[in-house]
Amino acid sequence: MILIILILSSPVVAACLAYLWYLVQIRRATKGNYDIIRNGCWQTNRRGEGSKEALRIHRARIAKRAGFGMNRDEAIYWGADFDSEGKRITYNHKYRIEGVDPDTRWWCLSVNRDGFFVPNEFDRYSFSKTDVKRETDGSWVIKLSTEEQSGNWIPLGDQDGHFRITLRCYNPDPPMIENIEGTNLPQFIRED
Amino acid sequence: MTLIFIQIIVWIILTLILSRIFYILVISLYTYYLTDKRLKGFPGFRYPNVFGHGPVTSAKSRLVPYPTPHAMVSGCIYNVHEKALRIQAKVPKGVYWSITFFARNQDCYFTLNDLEAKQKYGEDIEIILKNRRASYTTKKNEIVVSAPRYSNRGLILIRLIMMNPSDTEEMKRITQMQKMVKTEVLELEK
Repeated sequence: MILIILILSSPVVAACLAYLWYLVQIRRATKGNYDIIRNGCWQTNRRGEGSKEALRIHRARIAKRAGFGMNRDEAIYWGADFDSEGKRITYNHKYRIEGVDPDTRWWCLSVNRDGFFVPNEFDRYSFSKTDVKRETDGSWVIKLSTEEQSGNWIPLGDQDGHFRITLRCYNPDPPMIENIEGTNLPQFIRED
Repeated sequence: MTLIFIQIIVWIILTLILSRIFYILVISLYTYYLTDKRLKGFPGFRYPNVFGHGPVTSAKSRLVPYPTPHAMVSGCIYNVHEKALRIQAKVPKGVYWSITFFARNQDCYFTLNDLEAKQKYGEDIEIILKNRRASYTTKKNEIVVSAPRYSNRGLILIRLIMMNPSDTEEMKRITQMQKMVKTEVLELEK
């Protein structure tokens, strides 16, 4: 009798455990502190977006949120939801992103909300290695605000709430891949 | 007493193994489901093995979240269940270009960019995509790629990045480059 109860209950208990494990994993993955590499305010997936080494939970998360990311040798996708002081990035502040070119063939920095570009009357969502205006020493500053500014300005449009900054590094150089946690990335500074 | 104790230990071990199997099965099927759902949103879903060319990504783009700014993307939903697919492309100069193959579990299982392509194969490349069980006799300069298990249907993306999106001449040039890709469905060798 006991044996029959054990045999019958095993799949039910196993299914419950699997579901609990799924909930724990998805919570860890969506909170952004699981299998993540941090570098200042930036974070990226430890194993790359489209890599064979990516965890199953990350594949599911990528499939749900974005999909079809390239592997690490081809592109590293950095994201920032918080500024360099650890405060959530919101539309009602002015920000400055300053730095030099990351160790990569080409980079592009864009503003996203819920995965898409933030609409604005200038249709400007990003700056890249090839179109950013630079200082004489090669460094650059990108400004984010709702009010118009001179120089490299990305308009935040007429929005409320928070947004995300994405830094894409195409064909990262070996120093970025080998020293991903210490590679030189731009600073994200709140100005007001 | 000892027998019951052994039975309970065996039950715990078997239940844990079973729960791991359930987890792997469900999370994998969920990923396939999400990928298939996204592929169904592509305009070319009903006409596989043909490339469709997208415009420059903008705030109105809703096909794939987190789109690449400055990019013009061409997509092809492939189906190599019973056929193979030949892809012929011209690698452009002066821009970033890459062709990537995605499995239904989100693996990017093949990537070739402009630098590698020119170094290894020249400006004209020819890729044969087949299912992993099919045999194919490779011809000179052909790159043969086998789709992974459960991914006889998947996605091919070609990304072309404009160095200066405000340059209308460059945009025209890149739009022409985008169309320099051809596909041909091949019968499998018996």
